[in-house]
Amino acid sequence: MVSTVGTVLEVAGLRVRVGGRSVVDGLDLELRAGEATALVGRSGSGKSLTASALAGLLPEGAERSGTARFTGADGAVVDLMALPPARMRALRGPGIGYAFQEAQASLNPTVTVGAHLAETLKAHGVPRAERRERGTDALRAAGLEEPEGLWRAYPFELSGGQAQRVALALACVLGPRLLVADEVTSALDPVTQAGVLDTLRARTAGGGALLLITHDLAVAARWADRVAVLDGGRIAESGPAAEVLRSPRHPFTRELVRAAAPAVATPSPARGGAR
Amino acid sequence: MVSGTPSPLAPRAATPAALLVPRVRGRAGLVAGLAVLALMVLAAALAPVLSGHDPIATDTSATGLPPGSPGHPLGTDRLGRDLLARMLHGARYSLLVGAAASLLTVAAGTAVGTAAALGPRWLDTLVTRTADALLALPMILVALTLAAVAGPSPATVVLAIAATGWMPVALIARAEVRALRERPFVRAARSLGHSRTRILLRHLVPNALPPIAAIAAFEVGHAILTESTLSFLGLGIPPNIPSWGTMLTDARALLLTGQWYTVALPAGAIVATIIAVNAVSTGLERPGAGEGRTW
Repeated sequence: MVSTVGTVLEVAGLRVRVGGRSVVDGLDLELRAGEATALVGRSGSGKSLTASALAGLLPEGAERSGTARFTGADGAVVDLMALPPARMRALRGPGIGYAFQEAQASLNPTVTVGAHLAETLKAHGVPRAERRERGTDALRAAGLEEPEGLWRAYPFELSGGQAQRVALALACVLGPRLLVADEVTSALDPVTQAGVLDTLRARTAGGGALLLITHDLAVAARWADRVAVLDGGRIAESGPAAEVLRSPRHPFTRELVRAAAPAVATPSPARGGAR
Repeated sequence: MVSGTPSPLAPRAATPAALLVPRVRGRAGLVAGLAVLALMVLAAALAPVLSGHDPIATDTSATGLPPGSPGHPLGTDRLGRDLLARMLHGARYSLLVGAAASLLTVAAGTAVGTAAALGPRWLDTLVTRTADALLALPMILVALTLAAVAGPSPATVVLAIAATGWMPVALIARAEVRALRERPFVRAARSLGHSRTRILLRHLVPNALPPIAAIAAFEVGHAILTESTLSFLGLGIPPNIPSWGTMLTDARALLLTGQWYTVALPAGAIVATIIAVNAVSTGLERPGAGEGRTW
């Protein structure tokens, strides 16, 4: 029985130290099933580090502490921060999917798109006969219309948008309960960006949780249910996206909203007059 | 397509020939190198057919014949042994020892370097310090000691060459794997729950191979040269087995007596092999290096 309501991840007192310096300092966060939560903040505020810490992907030399109670599809609760490596490995993919900012670089240049998908399915015990079909299904679900043609393509043959969708298909191929999208659309043009975010958003309809990491408030406003603003290694303010962005209470959130306001609220003169 | 770009992806044939063709096209050096090596391997394989003479049979009635003599197209040495037969049969040992030794060198160097990069810190220190120490010693001294202790045989030569040649390969493999370890696609593989072994074999080693392949070509040259040197010094392949190295050993007394061809033939074959291997390795460097594809 797949649980579609309730909390998927409850983070309490997360701290991440890099080289003796606290970058994330006592962060609390709750991610719910069927909801998209945007984690916003300035560049370098520790957004990606937070996500890496939760997924156990911190670079060498970084330390983490705190608790992160993850509720699986079967209702079992585990603390991600205290999970033995083998169980964490099994959880990656079906439990937590992670899509990276640099999509092209997150694909192995010597391996085809199809082999990426097939190997990931194999690593989680999916029988050979089902891999091709599940792989092409994932590509199609990520918005790629010709998955068969892409199956044998190498990463360098993909456009930026295609690479991002392949990376998403890979992160989603095992149907993760929580999908972390780390600045996945920062390098894409607005049309492709909207398409990718729509695809991501659609996933939450199936009861999954989405953690959308972004510095773009317009993205948060349009595609997230809830917004958590990260400042100084803590959550400065969080709540329903519309509420937080319309009437920010914390000074830092106000500053962020004010900085983004011209781009979000008023159309630029060039847009109307160019043609 | 979704992003509005036309799909550049036509179905591709994945046969070895189809993969090789675009690499060969427009690369004369690669083609020439491959052709020379193929000819040499073929000549070595067909040695008994191409020359009717026994490479170790002496003939006191035909000693020191120059090239072009009837029945002996390349002449004979001072014991009356047919030089063409010795060149062809010698190619068997020289090419075999060269190939085996360079394969062993590259495989051992890659394994040791990768282990140093991914293993505990003490292992890394041990490997780099040992490599530095061995690099500081004259290579020939180490090879000579090994050959002297183990006795002359083709297997000893292979081991001695690998023992003195693995260090540059290991240091390059170590540096490559360390750099690759933090690359996004390795993190992505971890984020998908791939095992450490899988990540090592599928993501780290294949991407570390291009610079290793470049140095592997040097290792083939190193292997053939070291075999010749050890054989020349009487510590490599036993003198009763023909190899290009043992032929040089036999010919050293004749260097100043006008029978220059006894030296020039094996020396020329060694040089040609090394040049051919280097041409192949240079030719294999991919044209699309900037595209992110590694092979």
